[in-house]
Amino acid sequence: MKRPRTKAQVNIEFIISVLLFLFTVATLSFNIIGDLPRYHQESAANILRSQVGQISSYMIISTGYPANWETLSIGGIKAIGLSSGTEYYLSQAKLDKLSTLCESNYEDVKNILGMDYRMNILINITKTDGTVVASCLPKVIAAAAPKYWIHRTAILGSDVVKVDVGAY
Amino acid sequence: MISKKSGRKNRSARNRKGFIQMIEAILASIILFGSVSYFFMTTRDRSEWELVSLRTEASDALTVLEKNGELATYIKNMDANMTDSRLTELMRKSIGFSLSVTGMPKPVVYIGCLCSPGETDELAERLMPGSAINETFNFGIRKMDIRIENVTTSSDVELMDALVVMDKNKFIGNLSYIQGLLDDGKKVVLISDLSQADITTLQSIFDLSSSTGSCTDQSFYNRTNLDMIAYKVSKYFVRTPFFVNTTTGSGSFVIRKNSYTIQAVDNGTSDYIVYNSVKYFQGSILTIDGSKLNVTRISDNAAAVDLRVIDKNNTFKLDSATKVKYDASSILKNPNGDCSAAKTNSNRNALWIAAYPKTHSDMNQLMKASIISLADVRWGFDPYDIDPGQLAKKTAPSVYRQIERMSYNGEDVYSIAMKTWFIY
Repeated sequence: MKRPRTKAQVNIEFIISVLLFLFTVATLSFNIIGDLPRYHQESAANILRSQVGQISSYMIISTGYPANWETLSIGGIKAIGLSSGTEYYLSQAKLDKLSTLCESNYEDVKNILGMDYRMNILINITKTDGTVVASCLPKVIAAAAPKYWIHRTAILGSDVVKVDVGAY
Repeated sequence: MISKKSGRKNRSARNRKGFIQMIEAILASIILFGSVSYFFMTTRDRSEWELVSLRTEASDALTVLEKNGELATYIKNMDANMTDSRLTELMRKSIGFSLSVTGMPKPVVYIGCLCSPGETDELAERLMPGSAINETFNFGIRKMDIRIENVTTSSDVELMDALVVMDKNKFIGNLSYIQGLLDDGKKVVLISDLSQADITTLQSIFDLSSSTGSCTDQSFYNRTNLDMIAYKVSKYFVRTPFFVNTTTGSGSFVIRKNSYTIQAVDNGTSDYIVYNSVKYFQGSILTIDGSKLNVTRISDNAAAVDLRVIDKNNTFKLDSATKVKYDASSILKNPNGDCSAAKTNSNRNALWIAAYPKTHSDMNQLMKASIISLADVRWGFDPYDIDPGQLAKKTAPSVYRQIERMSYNGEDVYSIAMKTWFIY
């Protein structure tokens, strides 16, 4: 019996159509996949920004918990706030304690502040003339890592001080 | 058997089918590109974080200067340079800003009098202290000054805050000039009785309408309502002193049409006044005919005494024949009627006060408070609105954030608006 001539044959138009369709799907897929790292990076950056914003606000508004945490050892500290009890007014004793803790227990301070172990927190408190009042920095700072800062202002005694909080 | 003709026909049909498949594929691709791109490849909005940080930084700077009292001092002294310098110091160099403060009394109120020389002198007497003798007076916790100058319709009135007219015919005769001043942001004040015809003529300037009630007894209208002009004027009223000339050792003043006399005694460093045989030193309070008065100042050698009625419920007595109906912009109103002897228009840039004798101290105190209230400050450094030459050193923003807040310096509630933007 004679088989029809067109069986098991694919004409050129069909091939072109399928190729065109596959090309479209592939292009779109690559574009979408290519954007994912950027989305991830932006998301991570937003998380960091949000965290430094929250930490900086908490620090200048709250006394921390317990309120006299500056008299306790690191194990007894639940939250670090730098306010003397009035919003925006910082306590020198708390600033001193923060600097001391960061020197010896930076990772613990990071934990108390709620930072992920992969991230680092940077705190610089300076007078308007540039004199450093307190700081909290890791031993080694990755110079190339993008850092996200928030710049706040507070009062320390009779001075106005700048509270710069950053993370990377 | 397939004929030659029908074979051609079939091939042609197959070709058409293939062509349609290609068209389908192209259409499918276009639809895919369009729809998937729409959902996944749309342009993402610019991150708002930088603007949030801009706003936070500006808000912190204002809060800190407010909390430590610096801002109140700068604003009280209208010290633009210090305000600018401190805010610049507290924010990043890349941030530009402008600041405007509204709602506070001006330290110096410039009044132009479209008057005869005699009327100008009379106005100065009514507004003393702080007018003819170019002397400051105590206005609450601050010093104020009122400066009066005789003006004509061709005078340079750039500095002038308010134009005062005491002759209604002169006012009506210069309506277009006065309207021009109002359009330029100046304030106008008319102190005069008005006929029914005048009320009609001046309706558009002062929002006047006629009343039938008696206007003899007046008090602040709805002064506890923050939205009312009477609220502000009554606040200023109790801070504004009137003047008693005591160069001869005694002097008189008039409250509610009754005249009272005080003696002023020069006693070295502790001068005092005597009323009803009782001594009152500077800062003390005396009660006269049910009204509480504060002895605001006794000048050197006790030659002049400033007193002020400190009762916001004070009743004013007038002889005014004018029958103007009260409305929401009235400062005074009779307690059980609908007549107002002092009112502004709804824009609060035109003030009418019924005529009263220049010796009436409580009315002088009211007039001065009303004018100070009308000439409230709009101060700051703003490259767009205020005095473009002054401190306008920042470039114009395309994207900015504005912080607005009400502040209180122990005496005045005023509004601060701060615009911030990135210079680069």
